[in-house]
Amino acid sequence: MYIFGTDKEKHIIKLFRRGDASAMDCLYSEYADYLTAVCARYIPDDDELKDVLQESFIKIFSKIEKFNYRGNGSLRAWITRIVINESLLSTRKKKNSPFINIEKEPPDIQDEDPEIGNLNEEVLTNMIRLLPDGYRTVFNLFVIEGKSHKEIAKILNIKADSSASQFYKAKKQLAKMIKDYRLKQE
Amino acid sequence: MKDQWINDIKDRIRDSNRKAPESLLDDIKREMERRGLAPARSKRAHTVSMWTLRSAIAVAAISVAFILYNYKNNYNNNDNIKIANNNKETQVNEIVKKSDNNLLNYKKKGNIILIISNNVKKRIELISKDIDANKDASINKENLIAQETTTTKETENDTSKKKISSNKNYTGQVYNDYKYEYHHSKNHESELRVSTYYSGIMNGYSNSQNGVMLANAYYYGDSSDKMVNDNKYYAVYSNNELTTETKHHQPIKLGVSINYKINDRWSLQTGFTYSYLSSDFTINSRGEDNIKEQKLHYVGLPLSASYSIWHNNAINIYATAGGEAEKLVNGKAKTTHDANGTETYSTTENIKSNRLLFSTNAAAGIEYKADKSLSLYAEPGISYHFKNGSGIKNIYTENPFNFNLNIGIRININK
Repeated sequence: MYIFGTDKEKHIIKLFRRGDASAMDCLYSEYADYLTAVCARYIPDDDELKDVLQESFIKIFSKIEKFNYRGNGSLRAWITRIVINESLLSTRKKKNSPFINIEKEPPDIQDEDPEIGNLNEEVLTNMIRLLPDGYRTVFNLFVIEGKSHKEIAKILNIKADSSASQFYKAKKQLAKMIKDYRLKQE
Repeated sequence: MKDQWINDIKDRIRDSNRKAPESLLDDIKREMERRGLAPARSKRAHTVSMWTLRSAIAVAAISVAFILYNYKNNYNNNDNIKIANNNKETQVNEIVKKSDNNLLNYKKKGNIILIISNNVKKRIELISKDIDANKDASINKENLIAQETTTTKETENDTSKKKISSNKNYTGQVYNDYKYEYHHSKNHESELRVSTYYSGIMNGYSNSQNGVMLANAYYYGDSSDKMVNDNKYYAVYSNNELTTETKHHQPIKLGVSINYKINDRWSLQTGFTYSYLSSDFTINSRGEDNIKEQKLHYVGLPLSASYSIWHNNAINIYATAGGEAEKLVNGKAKTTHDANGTETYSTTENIKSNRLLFSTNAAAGIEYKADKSLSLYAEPGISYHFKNGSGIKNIYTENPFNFNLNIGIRININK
């Protein structure tokens, strides 16, 4: 019996262990939309997004045997990580050095914090998707995943300073986008 | 410190959903079928391949044989030594160790050391004569059987360490065929010496160890240890379910040394050594593995003194003590960020340290002079590696205090 709440993950894992035919469907229906949102933050192109998600799910389904359930949230954390890793891999494949940005400096705007107001998650995600690859990746890893610049530097094979500066630029650009969006709305 | 508006964005989008692409699940299933993949059902034990380590040991063993071979050739080509037929076969065939389940860690940690000692006090004068076709010194190392399974795991949640070490049977054989006739000299102070020895560290963190005889100058195996590590790569997923495995592979040590004989009883040795220490760290969090492979290369300067307690023509019993300073000359750590077997990317960092790694050691030695040119020796002893505060983890930081068993062969050429 499907039980909501803390046993949800346990239940899904049990289905896989039993070789239940519904295991994949169950995991998919539970997490597909969430993982799509995660992936979309890293991969702005929708076709690529689908490819990355497909590859991620294949890995999830074929590697779940190795997964050690360690309490509620652990399955979600694991599959999130797979999606992020696949996304980073895809971004890397696309360009040789996607994290060294040669984009011109973002416009210098006053340091006033933008007003998020009632901007919904989709609008915000789409703005993040519009950021250049380097800015976007660093922004996601730093803000959403909570990585330090040192860790990001290791993951992306860049310098920690470079991660910090990409984040700074991402922030500026995002602030401008939010302000522009709000101006349009008014 | 992040700005508030950044935190707001985070809160808003972190757990957001987005409609998954159409027909994604069907495509996934189709693709899995095409690739012949099916979701697995059961959990599988984590296994670690031994081949890397075995290859390293094999290379080290071949190097030892090669150096000895060349060394012998040098004798022959150097118009320095009188060679005649004098077959000498030394065979050491020993080592069966059956122990309690917790034993044999020493086997997992050992050194292979080649030492060439050269007395600098006097120039060596050696006269060559005929060269025999069988002059090449060779060491064949055979019959190496190691069966082992070592599994170690520790989780933070466990208060007691679980350790499983299987019984291991080890059989080793050293076969030496040297053909020398010794041109004996009364002056024993000049001495050119080649020695290889194996250094097996006998203690681990296991608390019950039986002594084991090693018969060979090498063996392969691994060493496992475990510790609780930091959550370096898991800032965002960090929780109290972190498990870390540390696997220190068997150190490989090669050296060249100079022996200075002060008098009939006392001698000093110095030289340099090269050590290769490798370790694998597995940082596991919520089912995700990050594997960090660390490779450290050290160059060391040993200094020791030996005192011959008793000796006759065949046996020499001695004590030796000294220290060594080692410098990390090259270190690399490659981290594979691996989500449960989903290898995605890896990062490499250089490990540097200006701090010297100091160690001290003492051993009792017994040497059997099988021939005037050849002797076998065993040196059970103890060593201690001091902490140097560099923060670099290696086998010695895990086990600073070790019991050693060095077994080797020496070729002595006296004037």
